[in-house]
Amino acid sequence: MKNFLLTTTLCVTAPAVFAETHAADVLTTYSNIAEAGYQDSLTTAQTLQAAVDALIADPSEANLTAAKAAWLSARVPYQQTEVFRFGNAIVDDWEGKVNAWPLDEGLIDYVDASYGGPTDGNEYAVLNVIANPMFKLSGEDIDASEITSDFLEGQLHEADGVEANVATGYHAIEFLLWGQDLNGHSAGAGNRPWTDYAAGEDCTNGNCDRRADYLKGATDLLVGDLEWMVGQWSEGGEARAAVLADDNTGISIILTGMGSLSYGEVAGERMRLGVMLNDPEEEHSCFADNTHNDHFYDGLGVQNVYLGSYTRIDGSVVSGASLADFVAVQDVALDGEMQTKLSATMRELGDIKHAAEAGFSYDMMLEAGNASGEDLIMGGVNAFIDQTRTIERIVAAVGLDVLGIEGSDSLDDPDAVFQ
Amino acid sequence: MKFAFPVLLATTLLTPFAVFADPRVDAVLDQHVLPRFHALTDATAALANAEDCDVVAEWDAATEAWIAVSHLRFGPTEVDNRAFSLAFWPDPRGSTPSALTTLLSDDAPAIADVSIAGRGFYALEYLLFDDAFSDVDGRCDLIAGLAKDANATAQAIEADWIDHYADLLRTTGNDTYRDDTEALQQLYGAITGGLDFAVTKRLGVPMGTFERPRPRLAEMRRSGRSLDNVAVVLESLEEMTLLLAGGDSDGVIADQFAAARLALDNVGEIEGGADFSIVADTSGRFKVEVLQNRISEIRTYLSEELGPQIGVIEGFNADDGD
Repeated sequence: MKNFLLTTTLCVTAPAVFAETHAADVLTTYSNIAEAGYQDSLTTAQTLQAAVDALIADPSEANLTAAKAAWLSARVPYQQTEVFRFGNAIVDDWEGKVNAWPLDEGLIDYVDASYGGPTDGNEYAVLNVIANPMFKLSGEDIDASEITSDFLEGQLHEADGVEANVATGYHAIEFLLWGQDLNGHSAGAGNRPWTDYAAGEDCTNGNCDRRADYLKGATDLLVGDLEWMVGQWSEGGEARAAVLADDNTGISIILTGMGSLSYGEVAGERMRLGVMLNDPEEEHSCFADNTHNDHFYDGLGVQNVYLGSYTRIDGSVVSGASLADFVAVQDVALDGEMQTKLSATMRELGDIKHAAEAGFSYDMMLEAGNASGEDLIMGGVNAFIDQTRTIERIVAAVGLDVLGIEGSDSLDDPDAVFQ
Repeated sequence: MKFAFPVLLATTLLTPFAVFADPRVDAVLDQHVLPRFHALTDATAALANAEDCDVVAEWDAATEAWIAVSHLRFGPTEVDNRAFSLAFWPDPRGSTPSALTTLLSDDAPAIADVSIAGRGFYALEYLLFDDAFSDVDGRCDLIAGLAKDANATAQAIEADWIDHYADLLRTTGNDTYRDDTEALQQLYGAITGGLDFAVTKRLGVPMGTFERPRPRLAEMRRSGRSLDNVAVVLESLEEMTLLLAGGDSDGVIADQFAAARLALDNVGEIEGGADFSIVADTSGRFKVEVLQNRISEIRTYLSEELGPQIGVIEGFNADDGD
């Protein structure tokens, strides 16, 4: 269906050659930013991997702290790549392994009694695989005596078909490093003792060796998954090829990613829902209390792809012909409107980040009746929604369509969206 | 711009000047949006004014009135999270029962300050139909409180529509709707959003996967309204689609909705169809899937025919994302 529309547009518009060339340059910049972003995510994940190896080899407070710091650094480039998720089927199909959220952490390890038990939606919400080498899953006996990357990816992840059974990725690792945040709406993140990884009698909360196997398996898997994604965006990679294959489709992919991340995903699912439910568990990084950065770098990623410029973790800049240039050629006022709104969003997200870093943590903002916290978060939500309206105006102005919810599928199979 | 100039030109030529409202926008407002929000105000008033807490019939009528406007998720419903406070679903983490437990505790906060999961028609359904809440202390007072809260919210939504929001759509050229196309776009998006929500959530959530259906996650299964809600959605969306299309001379729209209604009746005939518990067995699931496909076909028709006909694009909606 979408293909039909896109083809129609192409026939009607018969773009001039130089305009086509320009679109192709925009798509190349976009792909270059994606490649650099995933490469930076890989580099920082490898640093995390080394820190995790050090923690397991020599458990200590200092080594746990170092691993946490490495995790926080790794999130900076990764969150900026989330704008590539919607619209690119290759990214969207893969993302669940890497950044799935929210998770029922009781699947993985011990949790506080206040966490509750199995729910209507998830019978395995308190499975605790670290403590249980053998268990039944959907009626089958599962041998979890060896916790490996293959086991986590192949058997435990999304166990019983429940998306909240997140066994792999950043947030599973986050839980293994920080533990549950039991501070409710007060300041403070999870406070897992380093002795959860200690050997012999020093081990706290049991099964330290299995916990270490889990952490190692999940971290190795993350590194492997990111390596694969870097390849998809390199010269000759499939994700890059899919973007570059057709100018109209490519521009649609960029706009779809910007709008879907801004509106449905971050403004809706991650920010607004949390504030309306007043639930600190609804924080995107609820164990590490890093949610203010998650939102900030998501917003920055959207701005990056529009402006065609990404500042890498070593300070170098990847930039080139931008979507902003492309829009300005057609409607300079519309480009100005988009740039203004993207800046406004970054200012709102910056306000949340600054307040959180100064001590007004995101879970405090979420507390029922905390008016200034609600105002801060809703400021971000409204800015994301507002910028989505302008993204829609751009979509209309360039004569394209947004790809559907699972829009990425529509590139391969026009009917898939509605199946 | 070189890329899409002919399209822009065509759109400009086809778009009426903003001085007079597009008749299709007027029709949708006067024959669909305004009367149906008024009906929601009336139905929630009847619920709020009930003399005891045996309000199943009043709840049922008010819920039906809500479902009939649940696709109109823009403008007045989005102020102060009003729509969310009337209807929080799906609820994957069981937030509604836990919010109700908070509301029933000794130091309960004011209803308007509490999590949206503890407010509105879905929270009331727990109180009215779930055994866990059948004789807890404070149940009656909380039912009355939630009913009044819902009525106040419905009144606020209707008042905003009457006071100013309808005019924004009628007399475009304002900050919200720059031209009639943006107004039509908003209304078109409400229909497609309503169809998408029926397909992916109202039907899709309980259907789960073939290997693992999720009948316990069906919308309002406790009251057995699951299928009725889809019926109300179809009825209301057909009304709005016909008004937005400005007619249905070849009967295509009516035929598409009739096909969906037939599939819906086939589900309703079976024991366990009303609450979608039939998704647990293969033949039952198949019937629900047929209904889902019929609704998807309406959605495809809108994208391929109605959208281009009225000159709007496929926009973003709140359910993009996970």
